[in-house]
Amino acid sequence: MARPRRTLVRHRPLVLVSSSITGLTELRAAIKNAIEALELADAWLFEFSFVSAGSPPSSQYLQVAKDCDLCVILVADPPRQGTIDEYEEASRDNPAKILGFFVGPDSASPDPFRKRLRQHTVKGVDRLDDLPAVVADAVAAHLETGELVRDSLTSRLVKLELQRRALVGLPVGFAFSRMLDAGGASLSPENLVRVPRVILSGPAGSGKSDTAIGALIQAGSERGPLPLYLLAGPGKRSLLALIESAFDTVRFVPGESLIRQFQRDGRIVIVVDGLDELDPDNRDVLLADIERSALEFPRTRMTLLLRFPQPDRLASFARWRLYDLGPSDLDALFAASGTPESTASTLDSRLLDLARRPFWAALVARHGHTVRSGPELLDRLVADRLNAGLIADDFSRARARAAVEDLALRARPAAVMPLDRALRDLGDWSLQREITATYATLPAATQLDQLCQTGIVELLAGSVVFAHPLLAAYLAACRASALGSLPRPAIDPDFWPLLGARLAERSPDLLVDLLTANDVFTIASVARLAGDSLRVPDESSDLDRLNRALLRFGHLAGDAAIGQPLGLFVTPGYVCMRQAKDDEPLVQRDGDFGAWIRRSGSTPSRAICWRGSPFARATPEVLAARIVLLGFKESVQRLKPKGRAFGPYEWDHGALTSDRGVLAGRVLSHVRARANARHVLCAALGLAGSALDSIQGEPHVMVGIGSTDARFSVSWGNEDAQVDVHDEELEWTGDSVRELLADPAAVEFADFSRQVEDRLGSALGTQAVRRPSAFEWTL
Amino acid sequence: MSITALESAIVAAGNALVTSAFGVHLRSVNPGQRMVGESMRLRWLAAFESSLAPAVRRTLVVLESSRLTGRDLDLDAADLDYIQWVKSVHAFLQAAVDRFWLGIGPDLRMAFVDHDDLPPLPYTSSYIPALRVAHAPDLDTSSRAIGLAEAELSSLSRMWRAARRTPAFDAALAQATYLRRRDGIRTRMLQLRGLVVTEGRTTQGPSFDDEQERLRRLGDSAYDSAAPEIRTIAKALRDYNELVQHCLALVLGAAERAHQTQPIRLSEEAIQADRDGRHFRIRITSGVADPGDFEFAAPFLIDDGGPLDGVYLTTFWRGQLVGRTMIFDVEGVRTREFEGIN
Repeated sequence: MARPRRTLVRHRPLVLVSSSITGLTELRAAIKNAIEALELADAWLFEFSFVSAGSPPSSQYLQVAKDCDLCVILVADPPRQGTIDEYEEASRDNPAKILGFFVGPDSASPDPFRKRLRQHTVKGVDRLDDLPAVVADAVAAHLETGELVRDSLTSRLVKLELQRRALVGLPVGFAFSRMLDAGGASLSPENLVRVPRVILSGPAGSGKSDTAIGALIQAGSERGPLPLYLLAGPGKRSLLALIESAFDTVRFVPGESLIRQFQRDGRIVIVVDGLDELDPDNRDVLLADIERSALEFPRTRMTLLLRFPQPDRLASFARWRLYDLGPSDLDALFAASGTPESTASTLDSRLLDLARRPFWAALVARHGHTVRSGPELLDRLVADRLNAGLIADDFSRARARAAVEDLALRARPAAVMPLDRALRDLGDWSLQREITATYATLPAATQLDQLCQTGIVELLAGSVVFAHPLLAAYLAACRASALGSLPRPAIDPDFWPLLGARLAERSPDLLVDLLTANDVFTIASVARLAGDSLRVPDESSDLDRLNRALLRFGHLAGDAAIGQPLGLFVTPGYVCMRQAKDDEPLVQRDGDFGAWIRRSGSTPSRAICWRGSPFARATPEVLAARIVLLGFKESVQRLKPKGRAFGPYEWDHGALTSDRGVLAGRVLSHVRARANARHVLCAALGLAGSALDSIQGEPHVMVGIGSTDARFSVSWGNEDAQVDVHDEELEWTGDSVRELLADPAAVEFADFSRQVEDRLGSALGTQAVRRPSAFEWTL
Repeated sequence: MSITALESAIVAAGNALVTSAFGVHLRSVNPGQRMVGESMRLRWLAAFESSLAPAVRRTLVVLESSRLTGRDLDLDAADLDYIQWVKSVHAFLQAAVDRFWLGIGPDLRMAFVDHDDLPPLPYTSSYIPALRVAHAPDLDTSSRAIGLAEAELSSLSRMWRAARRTPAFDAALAQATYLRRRDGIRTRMLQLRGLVVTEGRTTQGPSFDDEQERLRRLGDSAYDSAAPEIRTIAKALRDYNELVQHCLALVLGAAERAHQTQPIRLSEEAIQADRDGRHFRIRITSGVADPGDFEFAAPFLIDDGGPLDGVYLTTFWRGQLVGRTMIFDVEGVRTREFEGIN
């Protein structure tokens, strides 16, 4: 059947024809002509290796076997050693690029080489005259299906996965599985590429990329659609450009026509990463193109990795989400990392907070016992990579670090940049006076090669790609914190908190500028990331700095009281703060605390008290950030619907014996009987690691008893459930607490507060300012 | 700052009750404890007697709720014994309250109305009802009936003696002394009390929740429209009544716990404090404290020489297990301010 005439491949594929059939000049020409006649490529390059039997292969042809795009092996008895060696070389590069052709009877041949060759695409021909057409057909089929590059694509992904694991020291074979769909059902990773369209969300370091890469590897090995991992970056504003770029990494450069064919036929499965690092305009353009493509090519499965997907975009995509690691995950990771199991109990609470995400968990398992904050963990990671990069001396390592920090800042908000721009930027950097005065000059290409050896960046399809977005953000923050002014404003959710944490000690004024220019969630992230300080407090000047900071960004709390000047009551062992009054000194020492805290007018006087000085452990600006968060949480709490909507008790006349009333009474009665809830909590902790293994994510158990409120709830991920109490054990009943609560406003508030919690993360779960007790955390 | 004499006496009395026969019995006869392992049935006492209030009050709340809604409880013999025992404890508490008010006669201490004069429902207040009576039971007899030994009673008596040496008692005594001389005012106060009590006993709310809300407001606002002179008198007496109820809740809460009250070790975490009139509350959120330090409707003690020193009654308790971290949100109200000490 005549093929349609179209150019499917725009580069010049190199075809090696390897055979021991010698002396057939016409056959070579015929094969060449037949392939060229396909007109599937602009042009072809051919190499023919026809050597007599028994002759060794020349090194030239071994190299061609490795570099070629297709390796056509013509076998006639007996196979020559040169052909076998060329086969080996080609197979090492990419087994899928080998096309074998047996000339003459083959079926019963016991020859081991033929036996191995049959593992590949193999055709048999009786007559040499038929060979050109058969070879051309096989070549065409290979191009049209993309099978040519399947194993290369998969191999690239395996390599990428290993690199990512090696980066943070995640033990080989260790896998997390914490993916839930919108309904809260637990999903295994491979499901990700088995549904038409999915957005996988989760915060930075939650394992989105690793989960998706693992799923792609699985898809690739199952001989399903070709697995494509697309990394969005500057200059690539269409899905087509990203697909072309992904194919380019395996030296396969199909034209638009073939890619469209792949998409139409569903021959590729796509994961798009790096979207969060795009500037908003480029992201919008790309997402619009992806949306169009999803409609035009419904058979192509697509997964987008996004931290916070917009609800009004990409409506045809399912929403799946990664959840935090549970205690059993961490125990398993610590065990696999050789970290003593007791480590978790001795870690700083902020590190444990971070460790709920795999990227951080691996770093915590490795370095948690020697560092106290997230930035310190990243610093250890950078140092490890520089040491691993075979860079000869401290001086060169310092230069490499300075170079990669500068490169990272120039790339923001992206974590990838075109190679030519990277070389240009490195060249510019090396000519700066501060650099020439400090370091010996190194050519940009050499410097970049050195950086690639560290694994901090790698070259990928003509781009320089940072090994992890958080690593890129941290390096950029390191550079920015030394500049003395803030970089231009940009939406860059990883970068600003890390920069803020870096500025906490180095440049308080810049930190205030940064926090003022951002939102409360950035403040939360900074508060979470900033490590404890070791300061000598000076209450007067520290209070002045605190008040100046609150004046600047206190309004972000959504509470007019936050931002008003605070006054201090200092007594041995305690420092207390409350809104300052006009007729008193800002700092009172050893006075009458009762008089100091007494109400002013009709407003109850509220204070925050610390045992010891909070200024000894945090800079005034970081403390101000935590106070703003406290106010923000209280502001959110005020949105809570009034009444008993949240309480399980609604004992109206008809409901005294309702399930709800009985449940609450029964549980609370049992709680009382059993050492006031302690037993319940401990039992739930045990459950988290045993009976509820099928429930993924972090368990959250809450028992609340107050004079106007009482509740008991358990949630895993976004799955709420009641817990029934029987003797010494708790039993998972699986009934949704939400079904017990009829008030939609209560549910809405719970959803809202949960989202706030997600965004605030553990910012208040630190040793400095805890969650306000009045805040309703979850159902 | 250090803890007050009354706070010290409360801790000592509570600790004495922990190991007493009374304390042991209180813990063992809790319906929730007795019913552990049983399949729960509707209308069991254990199904409704929650820990939303101090011992004694919560049982009376369940019985009153059952009466009010017309839903009978399935009470077995053990339940009936338990209820009878609770009534014995209630009688002892009446005798104890009599000692708290010593110096202010029954006619005066009953001249005002407060939450304890109204039917007890879950969220109306935390007061144990009907403790101020004209003829209190005999203290020795009622204490022996619930298993209190001489030493424990002696410890408790130090508590009410300390309560009578507080500014709050002085203020109440001053107003009571004034009231004794003003028959007209006393008569008007008794009339007001009668009206409020009668209104409280007349079910009006369309639902159980409405009824609770009505009773709560009735107790809170009983003197809102009274003459200023009466309001002043009633306030001093009600303030002292609040101190008495607070003391009883503390010792009952202590007795119900299986360990003695010791000073808690505060970490460097932030503590929120607010002062609203006579209520000084602190809110502690801790991920490191021993959960046994904080239990609902029980005392906790801070005694480190700082401004937060005092004996607090836990009015809100929440435990959250987030991953491997246990976080406790606790709200407590301090005794010192009820005593009238700034």
